Amino acid sequence: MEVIAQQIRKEYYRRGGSSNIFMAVEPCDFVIPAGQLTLIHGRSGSGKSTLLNMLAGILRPTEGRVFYDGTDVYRMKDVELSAFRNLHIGYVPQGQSAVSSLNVLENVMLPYTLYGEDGRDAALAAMERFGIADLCEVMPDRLSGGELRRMAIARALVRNPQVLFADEPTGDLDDENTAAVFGTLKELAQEGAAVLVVTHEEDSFRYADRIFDMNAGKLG
Amino acid sequence: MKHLRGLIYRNLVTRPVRSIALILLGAVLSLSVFTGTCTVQSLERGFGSMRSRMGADIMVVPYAALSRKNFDNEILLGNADSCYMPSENVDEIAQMEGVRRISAQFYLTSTKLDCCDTPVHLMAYDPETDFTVAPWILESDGGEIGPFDVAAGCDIRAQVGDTLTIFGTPVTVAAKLDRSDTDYDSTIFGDMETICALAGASGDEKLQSLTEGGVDLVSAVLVDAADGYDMESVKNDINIHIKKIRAIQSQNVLSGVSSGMSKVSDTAKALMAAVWIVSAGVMAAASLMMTGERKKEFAVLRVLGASRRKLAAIVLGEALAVSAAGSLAGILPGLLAVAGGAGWLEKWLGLPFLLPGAGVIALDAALAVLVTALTGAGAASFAARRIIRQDTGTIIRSE
Ligand SMILES: Nc1ncnc2c1ncn2[C@@H]1O[C@H](COP(=O)(O)OP(=O)(O)OP(=O)(O)O)[C@@H](O)[C@H]1O
Ligand SMILES: [Mg+2]
Repeated sequence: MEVIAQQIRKEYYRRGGSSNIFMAVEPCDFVIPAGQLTLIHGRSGSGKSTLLNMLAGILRPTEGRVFYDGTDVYRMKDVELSAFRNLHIGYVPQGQSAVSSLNVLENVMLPYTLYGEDGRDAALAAMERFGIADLCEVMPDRLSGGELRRMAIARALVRNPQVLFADEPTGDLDDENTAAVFGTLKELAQEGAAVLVVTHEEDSFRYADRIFDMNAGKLG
Repeated sequence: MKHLRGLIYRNLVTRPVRSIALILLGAVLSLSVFTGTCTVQSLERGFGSMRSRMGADIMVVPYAALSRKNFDNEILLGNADSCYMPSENVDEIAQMEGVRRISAQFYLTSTKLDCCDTPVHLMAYDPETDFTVAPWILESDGGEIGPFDVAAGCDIRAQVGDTLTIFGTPVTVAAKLDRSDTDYDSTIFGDMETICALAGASGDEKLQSLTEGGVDLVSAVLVDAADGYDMESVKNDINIHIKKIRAIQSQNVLSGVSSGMSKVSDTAKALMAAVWIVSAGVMAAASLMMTGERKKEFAVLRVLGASRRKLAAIVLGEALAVSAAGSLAGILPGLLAVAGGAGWLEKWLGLPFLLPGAGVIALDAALAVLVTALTGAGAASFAARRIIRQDTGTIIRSE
């Protein structure tokens, strides 16, 4: 599946400056091709997460359109888009994203649970892949930052999505785990998924098929 | 955990203090709705029954009877055993202008009988002229009352067809009266001859002297005003023209009870409303706080594919689960309070209080459960609305 954005931009209302309108992402065209790992790199506050969220179908652009294999996601009904996201889009949020009342296994199973399906086996397999299979019953508040991150990645991949977004997926991982995560993301791309990763770590460049730089809302 | 239900359950059990507090709140709400509704209904039923048992526009009693207190309930029995007026008064009243019909009643002592826990009143009425007892017997599906037949109030332990022995004389129970929640419930009704015969055979000098040679004493005279006559002026006429008696308008007796009743039932309603408002407010605040704390979690669920509808279902489901659990928890103590507290409440209030039947009580319980559960869900709807409107794209970026 290929993601194509046409002339998307995002403005926020923000007091200050001359106009109170703050351009977080300047108008740009963007493609996330299937089978490749695309990387966006940039300074903090440059608009990376904003762009990623617009592409992922969770932040409506001020203007412009986003197509998934020809379908304009922002014209889909909420129920449809949600189900589509559940099946086809994996998303690793920036920062902590555990559901605190569920243990690790249940967190990883969540994409299935939300639709009344049994995701136990898929969840166990995904956890195995990221080395957290022995943490099944542990509650998230007992985990280290790196373990939490691996849990979030396992959860994003549990349904084998065709498109994967990862916002700073290795922010709190050590080198070994960072390599493991990027290795998996790369593998996923090689299997045919469209992968978009936002990062400020230059080490990860070697895994990327394409690299974009973002600076003050401008994509370069 | 395969369903949203599991997620809801886990959210509740990982915050036990909060959940238990909300369950208790739901219990208090359903308890108060249930007991409040039962109280209001019981008062209304008690009053309705009292009114239908009064049955006459005006009641004439010996003047002395009125100097007693406990005017309301006991006026119905005219202070039974000690106040009588001569039967000439009955003819005098019958002849007054504006009187449509009258019927005399004679109350014979309160006495302890095996068939009842409280002293039993014996009341003689005149089947020829009666217009208050007969309709009641009819309502209660009782049969004809002949000589040595009696109608028994509902607190008398006897069924239709049983034989009761009163002062050594056997009588047959021909009717069992429905509960009225007045002293009539422990009264045995018979015609004048029967009651006189019972007294005559009693061997008690005082009773015998009262009824010797047929009754020429009367405890109360029930009067209906003729059409076109004002009850009040008929009552005043009687009071002016006949000595040592007092005519009372039933409405006045009832209005005392009625205003007492509406005061109590208004208070009960106000209390229910207050409890409802406070609970709804606390429940709304609790769910707003909960969704505020879990903003990011809801954003995560959303990126994992939960629709707005599913988020709302989670918020409302949690609220519904605790309020429904609470409402059920409140019903049992509610039933105990209603069953155990009714007698006490009746004494304390001094008002007729007639609990509704089991079916109505069950409906009241169902209503209380429904009100509580809906209040919980309704209160959470603000939080649900806020959560489905929240901007996932913005919140998901935050720590
Ligand atoms: N809802 C909002 N209202 C106003 N301004 C916003 C809002 N969301 C983001 N911004 C601003 O838009 C800019 C881009 O934010 P964004 O989160 O996309 O940056 P980023 O490149 O992901 O930064 P980081 O590397 O720190 O995550 C920032 O300057 C931020 O302050
Ligand atoms: Mg960011």
